[in-house]
Amino acid sequence: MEQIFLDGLQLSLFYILVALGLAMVFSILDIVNFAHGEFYMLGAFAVYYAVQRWHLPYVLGVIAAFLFVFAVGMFCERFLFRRVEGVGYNALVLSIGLSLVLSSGALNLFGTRDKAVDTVVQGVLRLSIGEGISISWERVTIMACALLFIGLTFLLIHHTKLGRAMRAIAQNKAAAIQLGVDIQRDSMLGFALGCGLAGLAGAIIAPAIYLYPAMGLGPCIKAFVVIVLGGMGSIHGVVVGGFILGFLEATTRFLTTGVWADFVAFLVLMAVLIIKPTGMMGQKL
Amino acid sequence: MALLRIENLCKNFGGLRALQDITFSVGSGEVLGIIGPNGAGKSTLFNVISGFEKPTSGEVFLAEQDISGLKPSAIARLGVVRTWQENKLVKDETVKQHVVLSCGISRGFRFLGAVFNTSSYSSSGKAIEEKAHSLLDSVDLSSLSTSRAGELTHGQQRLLGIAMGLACDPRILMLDEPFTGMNTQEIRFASRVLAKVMDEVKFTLIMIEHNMRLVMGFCKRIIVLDHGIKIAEGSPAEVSANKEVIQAYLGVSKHAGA
Amino acid sequence: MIGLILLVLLPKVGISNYTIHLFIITLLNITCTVGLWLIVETGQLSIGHAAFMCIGAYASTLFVLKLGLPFWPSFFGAGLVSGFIAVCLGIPSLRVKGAYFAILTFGFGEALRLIISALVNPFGGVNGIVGIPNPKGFGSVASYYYFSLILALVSVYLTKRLHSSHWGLNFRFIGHEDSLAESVGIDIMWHKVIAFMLAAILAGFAGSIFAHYHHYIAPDFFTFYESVSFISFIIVGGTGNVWGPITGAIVLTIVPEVLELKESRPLFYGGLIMAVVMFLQKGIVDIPNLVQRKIRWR
Repeated sequence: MEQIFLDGLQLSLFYILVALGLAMVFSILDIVNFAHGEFYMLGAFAVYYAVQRWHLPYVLGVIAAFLFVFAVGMFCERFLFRRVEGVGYNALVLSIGLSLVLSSGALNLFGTRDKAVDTVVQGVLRLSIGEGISISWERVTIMACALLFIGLTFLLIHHTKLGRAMRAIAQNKAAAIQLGVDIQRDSMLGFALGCGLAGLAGAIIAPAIYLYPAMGLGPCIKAFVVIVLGGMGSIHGVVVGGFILGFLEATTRFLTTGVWADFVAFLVLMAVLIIKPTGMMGQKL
Repeated sequence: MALLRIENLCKNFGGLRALQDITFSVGSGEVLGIIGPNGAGKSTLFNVISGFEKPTSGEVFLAEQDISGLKPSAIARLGVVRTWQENKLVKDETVKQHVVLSCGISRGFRFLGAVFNTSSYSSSGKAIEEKAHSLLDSVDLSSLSTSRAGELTHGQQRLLGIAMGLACDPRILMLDEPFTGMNTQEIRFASRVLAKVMDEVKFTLIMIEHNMRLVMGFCKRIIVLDHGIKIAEGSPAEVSANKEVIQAYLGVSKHAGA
Repeated sequence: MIGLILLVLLPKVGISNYTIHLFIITLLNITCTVGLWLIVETGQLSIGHAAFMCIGAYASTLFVLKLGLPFWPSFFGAGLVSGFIAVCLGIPSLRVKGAYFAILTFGFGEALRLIISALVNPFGGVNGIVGIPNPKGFGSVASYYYFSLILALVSVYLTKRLHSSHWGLNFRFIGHEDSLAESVGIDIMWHKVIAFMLAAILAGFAGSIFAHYHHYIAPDFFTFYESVSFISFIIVGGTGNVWGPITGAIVLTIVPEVLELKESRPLFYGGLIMAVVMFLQKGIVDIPNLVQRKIRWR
């Protein structure tokens, strides 16, 4: 039981971090970014290079990863997505193309062999809850980092000028212009931030998993499930959706195997889209 | 027997009561006008009657058959056809294609006929082409039949919308602000066309319009909506003298032609 | 038509098995793509279409191997099963539009792949099913070539006819302004479901041929990437008429082979998709028009 709670908590926090950026990009720029998983992958690989090849300390590596993915995101918005603004499916299709380019490009650049990042935090934390649960410090660190970045993001959204501008654009572009918001610049920053968050998720989980160029697909799918569950226009909905998916998956994993957990996630995705496309908290359709 | 009967129709959007207890009927061959200030619920009324919105409560009867829950396409096929206030034409399709599309209402599915281009399919296709031509003729858009719909002026687009409505051989044609955006010349032409067609075919017409002169001239009976409530019903003379109607329009800028 | 005669005579001219293989794959791709094109015309972007080829492949295989049915009933059964599942999925799903539908079909494709990967019995799990036999009378590669050719020709004919008829007109209006179409009596759901079902049936047939030709199927042959490939054929080739998807399928199947791109294939497709979306709104098929327009300005 406690196992489910811990697993669920970890999964939830992780999914929320991954999905937050996707929700941001959708609410500010109306873009459904199928390449979101690739930014996650880039973050993980950036940490790999920083730590394993250039021997930087891990924390610097994470920061570098964020900056790198943020920059790539800025480039993509400015030179790719901005060109296809507004017209029907164009941005979506463009993001699908981008996804293929990034993952295949990564395959060519980084090779097919899985990469590994050295474990950053060693040891195991023993908690005496119930019958005594042990959880590795590594997992605790990941959860803590995820919580930290989620918190920072919400702080930014609610208490900074940029955050207010982004929220204004998300709610009513025309009104935002009237209020003097620089739509182009702040949208670009919003997009870059969204990608950067995905990169951060990749960076913090990198020590715990094997890295490979197609690693973005799975988290991307989960991110979609989260934002559909929570409501696609809603940033707060991401938290709701993330917890629902996280605990649902933890429970399913406990009862059966991993594959079924993914399958259940899809069923939920399809069911929500069919029954209540606006999700738990979303308004935009 | 009334052809169309609306009974205690209510429509709520969340907390907003767009239509409250609307009741009226329309006889066969009548010309009914629906007027009211902006936001009165006129388009909502059209949407509910034509099936694009479901009523929160109340019924819509077409020849005593309850059509309240039906799909819009089913209602159209039963003979209640509406046009749109907003520009809903497909820019890249030609004017003729728009009318041909509407003529297809009588065609049914004809899958195998289409695939193998059977003689019955192609002859029905020819009949539709002729019908489309004569309809475009009557609204004076024949010269533009191969132009893309996106190239038409606003007034021409409204005329195309009317032609599309007529192509469906409606029992009841509902025009949503057909004259809005037309210049005086176009209005004169369009009203003549409409009058002529109604003379020939004798269908029932319901019209939402802001242009008071037109409404008063065209319609024998008028219903006035304000904030979702029917505040008056009667002949043009009765309605224009009605104190509540005048009150509702106070503060709203005068419309051209009033 | 000269092209047709050439195509028919192709295997007689002693070209390599590899080239014929390429043609077979191209023809199967054409079949799947023209069907998907109909769905796209109705305004629904389906990025899970490979799932229907998958259903056809597995259905046909299981009919033959597990139920012991002869090939032809299995082949048609594959199409029927695919079409049936499409209708079951389509009726609730096609009400959903835009990006939501794309996400939903994406989810469906992945869910199907996961279920097949998870169930070793009867689907063979991740390792798939081997030893799928040749149907009676299908010994050579050439026979599969003719079969694929016939299927592709039928698919193209069907799709082209529908597109030129009132069906195509209805589809296009549904895709652009569905309330306008509804207000003149067109039943949107019915049309969308029919398009979805037809595309699935064609993909199912293609899947069946693929299974027997390749003798081996696995869930990894029918992933998101394959679905995206079909979409890329349509986007790159153009959506205006049936030659768009056909051109896209031919060019994008053959060129990567000629250039011997293996891992870079997705890079190539993705790059082309991006280039077309950013610069060439109407796809390759529109290039002659664009050139004409440029010349006229001079």
